[in-house]
Amino acid sequence: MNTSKAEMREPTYFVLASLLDGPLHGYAIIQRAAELSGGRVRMATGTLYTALDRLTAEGYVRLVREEIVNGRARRSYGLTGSGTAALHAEAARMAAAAQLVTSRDVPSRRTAAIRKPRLA
Amino acid sequence: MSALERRCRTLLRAYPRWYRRQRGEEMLATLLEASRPGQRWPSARDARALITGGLRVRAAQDQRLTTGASLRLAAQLGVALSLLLLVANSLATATLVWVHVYAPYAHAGYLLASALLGLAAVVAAWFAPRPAVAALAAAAAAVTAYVSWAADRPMVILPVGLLVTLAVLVCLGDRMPRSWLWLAGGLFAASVLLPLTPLGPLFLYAPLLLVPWIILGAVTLWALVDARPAMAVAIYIACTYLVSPVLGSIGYRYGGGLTALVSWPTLVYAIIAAVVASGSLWRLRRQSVL
Repeated sequence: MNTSKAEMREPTYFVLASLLDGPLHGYAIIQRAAELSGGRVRMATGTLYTALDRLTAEGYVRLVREEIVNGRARRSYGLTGSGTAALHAEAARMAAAAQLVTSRDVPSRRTAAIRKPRLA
Repeated sequence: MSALERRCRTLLRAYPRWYRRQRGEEMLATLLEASRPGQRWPSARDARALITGGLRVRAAQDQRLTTGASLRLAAQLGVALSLLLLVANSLATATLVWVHVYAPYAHAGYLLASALLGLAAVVAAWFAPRPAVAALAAAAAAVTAYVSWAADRPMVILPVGLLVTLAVLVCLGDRMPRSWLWLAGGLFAASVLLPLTPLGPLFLYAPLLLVPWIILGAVTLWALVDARPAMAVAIYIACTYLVSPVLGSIGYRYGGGLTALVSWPTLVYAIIAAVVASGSLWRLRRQSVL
Protein backbone atom coordinates (compact mmCIF):
# COMPACT_ATOMS: atom_id res chain seq x y z
CA MET A 1 0.00 0.00 0.00
CA ASN A 2 1.17 3.54 -0.78
CA THR A 3 1.34 5.26 2.59
CA SER A 4 3.72 7.85 3.96
CA LYS A 5 5.12 8.32 7.43
CA ALA A 6 4.43 12.04 7.51
CA GLU A 7 1.96 14.01 9.61
CA MET A 8 -0.40 12.80 12.29
CA ARG A 9 -3.68 14.29 13.44
CA GLU A 10 -4.00 15.24 17.09
CA PRO A 11 -6.62 12.54 17.91
CA THR A 12 -4.39 9.88 16.30
CA TYR A 13 -1.44 11.09 18.36
CA PHE A 14 -3.44 10.83 21.58
CA VAL A 15 -4.83 7.38 20.67
CA LEU A 16 -1.25 6.14 20.32
CA ALA A 17 -0.16 7.99 23.46
CA SER A 18 -3.01 6.45 25.46
CA LEU A 19 -1.63 2.99 24.68
CA LEU A 20 1.87 3.78 25.99
CA ASP A 21 1.11 2.32 29.42
CA GLY A 22 -0.36 -0.89 28.04
CA PRO A 23 -3.27 -2.27 26.00
CA LEU A 24 -6.71 -0.69 26.41
CA HIS A 25 -10.21 -1.35 25.04
CA GLY A 26 -12.26 1.16 23.03
CA TYR A 27 -13.94 3.17 25.78
CA ALA A 28 -10.77 3.18 27.90
CA ILE A 29 -8.85 4.67 24.95
CA ILE A 30 -11.45 7.46 24.62
CA GLN A 31 -11.17 8.21 28.35
CA ARG A 32 -7.37 8.06 28.44
CA ALA A 33 -7.00 10.27 25.35
CA ALA A 34 -9.30 12.88 26.93
CA GLU A 35 -7.33 12.67 30.19
CA LEU A 36 -3.92 13.01 28.49
CA SER A 37 -5.04 15.94 26.33
CA GLY A 38 -6.56 17.78 29.28
CA GLY A 39 -10.07 17.25 27.89
CA ARG A 40 -9.24 18.72 24.50
CA VAL A 41 -9.52 15.47 22.53
CA ARG A 42 -12.99 14.01 23.09
CA MET A 43 -13.32 11.29 20.50
CA ALA A 44 -16.63 10.03 19.21
CA THR A 45 -16.90 6.24 18.96
CA GLY A 46 -17.05 6.31 15.15
CA THR A 47 -13.93 8.48 15.00
CA LEU A 48 -12.07 6.13 17.36
CA TYR A 49 -12.76 3.06 15.25
CA THR A 50 -11.84 4.87 12.01
CA ALA A 51 -8.53 5.76 13.67
CA LEU A 52 -8.04 2.20 14.97
CA ASP A 53 -8.72 0.77 11.48
CA ARG A 54 -6.12 3.03 9.92
CA LEU A 55 -3.58 2.49 12.71
CA THR A 56 -4.03 -1.28 12.47
CA ALA A 57 -3.61 -1.15 8.68
CA GLU A 58 -0.42 0.91 9.16
CA GLY A 59 0.90 -1.67 11.63
CA TYR A 60 1.04 0.86 14.51
CA VAL A 61 -1.58 -0.86 16.64
CA ARG A 62 -2.55 -4.51 17.04
CA LEU A 63 -5.32 -6.50 18.63
CA VAL A 64 -3.99 -7.86 21.92
CA ARG A 65 -6.93 -9.43 23.73
CA GLU A 66 -10.52 -10.34 23.00
CA GLU A 67 -13.02 -11.13 25.74
CA ILE A 68 -16.76 -11.21 26.25
CA VAL A 69 -18.08 -8.68 28.77
CA ASN A 70 -21.85 -8.51 29.43
CA GLY A 71 -22.41 -10.67 26.36
CA ARG A 72 -20.52 -8.31 24.05
CA ALA A 73 -17.11 -8.51 22.43
CA ARG A 74 -14.49 -6.34 24.08
CA ARG A 75 -11.19 -6.02 22.25
CA SER A 76 -8.05 -4.50 23.68
CA TYR A 77 -5.48 -2.85 21.48
CA GLY A 78 -1.77 -2.33 22.07
CA LEU A 79 1.08 -0.42 20.48
CA THR A 80 3.44 -2.24 18.13
CA GLY A 81 7.14 -1.46 17.80
CA SER A 82 6.60 0.71 14.73
CA GLY A 83 3.64 2.43 16.47
CA THR A 84 5.90 3.37 19.39
CA ALA A 85 8.56 4.59 16.95
CA ALA A 86 6.01 6.67 15.00
CA LEU A 87 4.69 8.18 18.24
CA HIS A 88 8.20 9.10 19.39
CA ALA A 89 9.02 10.56 15.97
CA GLU A 90 5.87 12.72 16.08
CA ALA A 91 6.64 13.81 19.66
CA ALA A 92 10.20 14.76 18.62
CA ARG A 93 8.86 16.70 15.63
CA MET A 94 6.46 18.65 17.84
CA ALA A 95 9.14 19.22 20.48
CA ALA A 96 11.50 20.59 17.83
CA ALA A 97 8.76 22.89 16.56
CA ALA A 98 8.00 24.04 20.09
CA GLN A 99 11.70 24.53 20.84
CA LEU A 100 11.92 26.90 17.89
CA VAL A 101 9.59 29.28 19.71
CA THR A 102 10.27 28.65 23.39
CA SER A 103 14.07 28.89 23.07
CA ARG A 104 13.88 32.47 21.85
CA ASP A 105 13.50 35.45 24.09
CA VAL A 106 10.57 36.84 22.15
CA PRO A 107 9.27 40.10 23.61
CA SER A 108 5.58 40.06 24.44
CA ARG A 109 3.28 42.41 22.53
CA ARG A 110 3.08 44.77 25.46
CA THR A 111 6.86 44.98 25.83
CA ALA A 112 7.21 45.45 22.07
CA ALA A 113 4.72 48.30 22.20
CA ILE A 114 6.67 49.98 24.99
CA ARG A 115 9.94 49.60 23.10
CA LYS A 116 8.42 51.01 19.91
CA PRO A 117 10.21 54.28 19.09
CA ARG A 118 8.08 57.37 19.19
CA LEU A 119 7.91 59.78 16.34
CA ALA A 120 7.83 62.94 18.32
CA MET B 1 -32.97 -3.72 24.32
CA SER B 2 -32.94 -0.07 25.43
CA ALA B 3 -34.06 2.80 23.18
CA LEU B 4 -30.44 4.02 23.04
CA GLU B 5 -29.16 0.61 21.94
CA ARG B 6 -31.86 0.36 19.28
CA ARG B 7 -30.96 3.79 17.89
CA CYS B 8 -27.23 3.04 17.98
CA ARG B 9 -27.87 -0.17 16.05
CA THR B 10 -29.78 1.84 13.44
CA LEU B 11 -26.86 4.26 13.09
CA LEU B 12 -24.40 1.38 12.79
CA ARG B 13 -26.25 0.37 9.62
CA ALA B 14 -24.22 3.11 7.90
CA TYR B 15 -21.40 0.54 7.93
CA PRO B 16 -21.46 -2.38 5.47
CA ARG B 17 -22.68 -5.74 6.73
CA TRP B 18 -19.20 -7.39 6.69
CA TYR B 19 -17.86 -4.57 8.86
CA ARG B 20 -20.77 -4.75 11.32
CA ARG B 21 -20.21 -8.48 11.64
CA GLN B 22 -16.57 -7.80 12.53
CA ARG B 23 -16.87 -4.70 14.71
CA GLY B 24 -20.59 -3.99 15.28
CA GLU B 25 -20.96 -5.46 18.79
CA GLU B 26 -17.65 -3.98 19.93
CA MET B 27 -18.63 -0.50 18.71
CA LEU B 28 -22.06 -0.85 20.29
CA ALA B 29 -20.47 -1.78 23.63
CA THR B 30 -18.22 1.30 23.44
CA LEU B 31 -21.16 3.55 22.51
CA LEU B 32 -23.22 2.27 25.45
CA GLU B 33 -20.29 2.51 27.88
CA ALA B 34 -19.67 6.12 26.81
CA SER B 35 -23.34 7.10 27.28
CA ARG B 36 -24.74 8.94 30.30
CA PRO B 37 -27.14 7.14 32.66
CA GLY B 38 -30.67 7.45 31.28
CA GLN B 39 -29.51 8.66 27.87
CA ARG B 40 -32.09 7.73 25.21
CA TRP B 41 -30.56 9.19 22.05
CA PRO B 42 -27.00 9.00 20.72
CA SER B 43 -25.31 12.40 20.77
CA ALA B 44 -25.21 14.43 17.52
CA ARG B 45 -21.40 14.06 17.50
CA ASP B 46 -21.61 10.27 17.79
CA ALA B 47 -24.32 10.10 15.13
CA ARG B 48 -22.28 12.21 12.70
CA ALA B 49 -19.10 10.19 13.33
CA LEU B 50 -20.92 6.87 12.82
CA ILE B 51 -22.56 8.00 9.57
CA THR B 52 -19.39 9.48 8.04
CA GLY B 53 -17.30 6.54 9.32
CA GLY B 54 -19.74 4.05 7.79
CA LEU B 55 -19.83 5.89 4.46
CA ARG B 56 -16.02 6.00 4.41
CA VAL B 57 -15.81 2.25 4.88
CA ARG B 58 -18.40 1.80 2.10
CA ALA B 59 -16.34 4.11 -0.13
CA ALA B 60 -13.22 2.01 0.56
CA GLN B 61 -11.66 5.11 2.00
CA ASP B 62 -11.05 3.69 5.48
CA GLN B 63 -7.39 3.02 4.75
CA ARG B 64 -4.85 5.74 4.27
CA LEU B 65 -3.25 6.39 0.90
CA THR B 66 -0.72 9.05 0.03
CA THR B 67 -2.01 12.04 -1.92
CA GLY B 68 -0.13 10.71 -4.97
CA ALA B 69 -1.74 7.25 -4.76
CA SER B 70 -5.19 8.81 -4.32
CA LEU B 71 -4.57 11.07 -7.30
CA ARG B 72 -3.57 8.11 -9.48
CA LEU B 73 -6.79 6.29 -8.55
CA ALA B 74 -8.82 9.46 -9.20
CA ALA B 75 -7.12 9.84 -12.58
CA GLN B 76 -8.00 6.23 -13.40
CA LEU B 77 -11.66 6.91 -12.65
CA GLY B 78 -11.62 10.25 -14.51
CA VAL B 79 -10.14 8.61 -17.60
CA ALA B 80 -12.62 5.71 -17.33
CA LEU B 81 -15.58 8.13 -17.12
CA SER B 82 -14.33 10.15 -20.11
CA LEU B 83 -13.87 6.94 -22.12
CA LEU B 84 -17.33 5.73 -21.16
CA LEU B 85 -18.85 8.93 -22.55
CA LEU B 86 -17.00 8.42 -25.86
CA VAL B 87 -18.08 4.76 -25.91
CA ALA B 88 -21.69 5.79 -25.22
CA ASN B 89 -21.59 8.32 -28.07
CA SER B 90 -20.16 5.71 -30.46
CA LEU B 91 -22.77 3.14 -29.44
CA ALA B 92 -25.57 5.66 -29.89
CA THR B 93 -24.18 6.81 -33.26
CA ALA B 94 -23.86 3.22 -34.51
CA THR B 95 -27.43 2.50 -33.40
CA LEU B 96 -28.77 5.67 -35.06
CA VAL B 97 -26.94 4.86 -38.31
CA TRP B 98 -28.49 1.40 -38.35
CA VAL B 99 -31.94 2.75 -37.53
CA HIS B 100 -31.90 5.48 -40.19
CA VAL B 101 -29.89 3.82 -42.98
CA TYR B 102 -31.95 0.62 -42.78
CA ALA B 103 -29.02 -1.49 -43.93
CA PRO B 104 -25.75 -2.84 -42.56
CA TYR B 105 -23.18 -0.10 -42.91
CA ALA B 106 -19.47 -0.85 -42.65
CA HIS B 107 -18.56 2.35 -40.80
CA ALA B 108 -21.20 1.72 -38.15
CA GLY B 109 -19.80 -1.76 -37.70
CA TYR B 110 -16.30 -0.48 -37.03
CA LEU B 111 -17.74 2.18 -34.72
CA LEU B 112 -19.58 -0.50 -32.78
CA ALA B 113 -16.42 -2.64 -32.60
CA SER B 114 -14.33 0.27 -31.28
CA ALA B 115 -17.04 1.11 -28.72
CA LEU B 116 -17.33 -2.45 -27.46
CA LEU B 117 -13.54 -2.85 -27.20
CA GLY B 118 -13.33 0.48 -25.35
CA LEU B 119 -16.09 -0.63 -22.98
CA ALA B 120 -14.29 -3.94 -22.41
CA ALA B 121 -11.04 -2.09 -21.60
CA VAL B 122 -12.82 0.12 -19.05
CA VAL B 123 -14.60 -2.80 -17.37
CA ALA B 124 -11.33 -4.77 -17.40
CA ALA B 125 -9.69 -1.92 -15.44
CA TRP B 126 -11.74 -3.12 -12.45
CA PHE B 127 -11.69 -6.87 -12.91
CA ALA B 128 -9.16 -8.27 -15.40
CA PRO B 129 -5.44 -8.96 -14.99
CA ARG B 130 -3.19 -6.05 -15.98
CA PRO B 131 -1.89 -7.57 -19.28
CA ALA B 132 -5.52 -8.11 -20.37
CA VAL B 133 -6.33 -4.43 -19.69
CA ALA B 134 -3.29 -3.36 -21.73
CA ALA B 135 -4.21 -5.71 -24.61
CA LEU B 136 -7.84 -4.57 -24.70
CA ALA B 137 -6.83 -0.90 -24.53
CA ALA B 138 -4.34 -1.41 -27.39
CA ALA B 139 -6.97 -3.19 -29.52
CA ALA B 140 -9.58 -0.49 -28.81
CA ALA B 141 -7.06 2.27 -29.62
CA ALA B 142 -6.14 0.59 -32.94
CA VAL B 143 -9.76 0.18 -34.08
CA THR B 144 -10.67 3.72 -32.92
CA ALA B 145 -7.71 5.19 -34.83
CA TYR B 146 -8.76 3.24 -37.94
CA VAL B 147 -12.39 4.39 -37.68
CA SER B 148 -11.72 8.06 -37.03
CA TRP B 149 -8.55 8.63 -39.04
CA ALA B 150 -10.26 9.42 -42.33
CA ALA B 151 -12.98 11.59 -40.80
CA ASP B 152 -11.43 13.71 -38.09
CA ARG B 153 -7.74 13.12 -37.37
CA PRO B 154 -7.17 15.40 -34.36
CA MET B 155 -10.17 13.83 -32.59
CA VAL B 156 -8.34 10.48 -32.62
CA ILE B 157 -5.94 11.88 -30.01
CA LEU B 158 -8.54 11.98 -27.23
CA PRO B 159 -9.79 8.34 -27.18
CA VAL B 160 -6.36 6.90 -28.00
CA GLY B 161 -4.69 9.09 -25.37
CA LEU B 162 -7.31 8.10 -22.79
CA LEU B 163 -6.95 4.38 -23.56
CA VAL B 164 -3.16 4.55 -23.28
CA THR B 165 -3.40 6.53 -20.01
CA LEU B 166 -5.89 4.02 -18.57
CA ALA B 167 -3.63 1.07 -19.44
CA VAL B 168 -0.56 2.80 -17.95
CA LEU B 169 -2.38 3.79 -14.74
CA VAL B 170 -3.81 0.29 -14.24
CA CYS B 171 -0.40 -1.30 -14.85
CA LEU B 172 1.37 1.09 -12.45
CA GLY B 173 -1.09 1.66 -9.64
CA ASP B 174 -3.73 0.14 -7.39
CA ARG B 175 -7.13 -1.04 -8.57
CA MET B 176 -10.17 1.21 -8.31
CA PRO B 177 -12.67 0.27 -5.56
CA ARG B 178 -15.65 -1.68 -6.90
CA SER B 179 -18.03 0.79 -5.24
CA TRP B 180 -17.04 3.25 -8.00
CA LEU B 181 -18.75 1.01 -10.56
CA TRP B 182 -22.07 2.57 -9.47
CA LEU B 183 -20.89 5.99 -10.60
CA ALA B 184 -19.39 4.72 -13.85
CA GLY B 185 -22.46 2.60 -14.62
CA GLY B 186 -24.94 5.41 -13.87
CA LEU B 187 -23.10 7.94 -16.00
CA PHE B 188 -22.68 5.43 -18.83
CA ALA B 189 -26.37 4.48 -18.84
CA ALA B 190 -27.41 8.15 -18.91
CA SER B 191 -24.89 8.88 -21.70
CA VAL B 192 -26.18 5.98 -23.85
CA LEU B 193 -29.84 6.80 -23.32
CA LEU B 194 -29.54 10.54 -23.89
CA PRO B 195 -28.66 10.51 -27.62
CA LEU B 196 -31.23 7.76 -28.22
CA THR B 197 -34.20 9.53 -26.62
CA PRO B 198 -35.23 11.30 -29.86
CA LEU B 199 -36.12 7.79 -31.05
CA GLY B 200 -38.54 7.43 -28.16
CA PRO B 201 -41.09 9.70 -26.46
CA LEU B 202 -39.88 13.31 -26.25
CA PHE B 203 -40.91 13.81 -22.60
CA LEU B 204 -37.95 11.61 -21.63
CA TYR B 205 -35.45 13.97 -23.20
CA ALA B 206 -35.46 16.98 -20.86
CA PRO B 207 -35.14 15.04 -17.56
CA LEU B 208 -32.39 12.86 -19.04
CA LEU B 209 -30.39 15.96 -19.95
CA LEU B 210 -30.12 16.70 -16.24
CA VAL B 211 -29.13 13.18 -15.12
CA PRO B 212 -25.37 13.44 -15.85
CA TRP B 213 -25.22 16.79 -14.04
CA ILE B 214 -27.16 15.47 -11.06
CA ILE B 215 -24.71 12.53 -10.84
CA LEU B 216 -21.70 14.86 -11.15
CA GLY B 217 -23.12 17.24 -8.52
CA ALA B 218 -23.76 14.38 -6.11
CA VAL B 219 -20.20 13.13 -6.59
CA THR B 220 -18.84 16.59 -5.85
CA LEU B 221 -20.80 16.64 -2.57
CA TRP B 222 -19.53 13.10 -1.85
CA ALA B 223 -16.08 14.72 -1.55
CA LEU B 224 -16.95 15.24 2.12
CA VAL B 225 -16.62 11.45 2.47
CA ASP B 226 -14.15 10.67 -0.32
CA ALA B 227 -12.57 13.29 -2.60
CA ARG B 228 -11.22 10.87 -5.21
CA PRO B 229 -14.43 10.60 -7.30
CA ALA B 230 -14.76 14.41 -7.19
CA MET B 231 -11.24 14.75 -8.59
CA ALA B 232 -12.26 12.24 -11.27
CA VAL B 233 -15.22 14.45 -12.13
CA ALA B 234 -12.88 17.43 -12.61
CA ILE B 235 -10.77 15.31 -15.00
CA TYR B 236 -13.94 14.16 -16.80
CA ILE B 237 -15.16 17.76 -17.25
CA ALA B 238 -11.71 18.84 -18.50
CA CYS B 239 -11.50 15.97 -21.01
CA THR B 240 -15.08 16.24 -22.23
CA TYR B 241 -15.72 19.97 -22.28
CA LEU B 242 -12.22 21.45 -22.69
CA VAL B 243 -9.89 19.00 -24.48
CA SER B 244 -12.57 17.77 -26.87
CA PRO B 245 -13.47 21.30 -28.17
CA VAL B 246 -9.76 22.13 -28.52
CA LEU B 247 -9.21 19.07 -30.70
CA GLY B 248 -12.43 19.82 -32.57
CA SER B 249 -11.21 23.33 -33.31
CA ILE B 250 -7.84 22.08 -34.53
CA GLY B 251 -9.75 19.89 -36.98
CA TYR B 252 -12.77 21.09 -38.86
CA ARG B 253 -15.54 19.85 -36.61
CA TYR B 254 -16.64 23.20 -35.18
CA GLY B 255 -15.39 25.39 -37.99
CA GLY B 256 -14.65 28.35 -35.75
CA GLY B 257 -10.93 27.68 -35.39
CA LEU B 258 -9.15 28.34 -32.12
CA THR B 259 -11.08 31.59 -31.57
CA ALA B 260 -14.17 29.45 -30.93
CA LEU B 261 -12.48 28.22 -27.76
CA VAL B 262 -12.73 31.56 -26.00
CA SER B 263 -16.45 31.30 -25.38
CA TRP B 264 -18.55 31.59 -22.25
CA PRO B 265 -19.40 27.88 -22.00
CA THR B 266 -15.70 26.94 -22.29
CA LEU B 267 -14.77 29.46 -19.62
CA VAL B 268 -17.53 28.23 -17.31
CA TYR B 269 -16.42 24.61 -17.74
CA ALA B 270 -12.79 25.61 -17.15
CA ILE B 271 -13.78 27.40 -13.93
CA ILE B 272 -15.93 24.46 -12.74
CA ALA B 273 -13.11 21.98 -13.45
CA ALA B 274 -10.53 24.19 -11.70
CA VAL B 275 -12.73 24.75 -8.61
CA VAL B 276 -13.66 21.06 -8.26
CA ALA B 277 -10.03 19.99 -8.83
CA SER B 278 -8.54 22.40 -6.30
CA GLY B 279 -11.23 21.59 -3.68
CA SER B 280 -10.70 17.87 -4.20
CA LEU B 281 -6.93 18.24 -3.95
CA TRP B 282 -7.32 20.03 -0.63
CA ARG B 283 -9.57 17.22 0.65
CA LEU B 284 -7.24 14.51 -0.71
CA ARG B 285 -4.34 16.01 1.22
CA ARG B 286 -6.41 15.89 4.40
CA GLN B 287 -7.44 12.29 3.66
CA SER B 288 -3.78 11.27 3.46
CA VAL B 289 -3.02 12.46 7.01
CA LEU B 290 -3.05 9.65 9.58
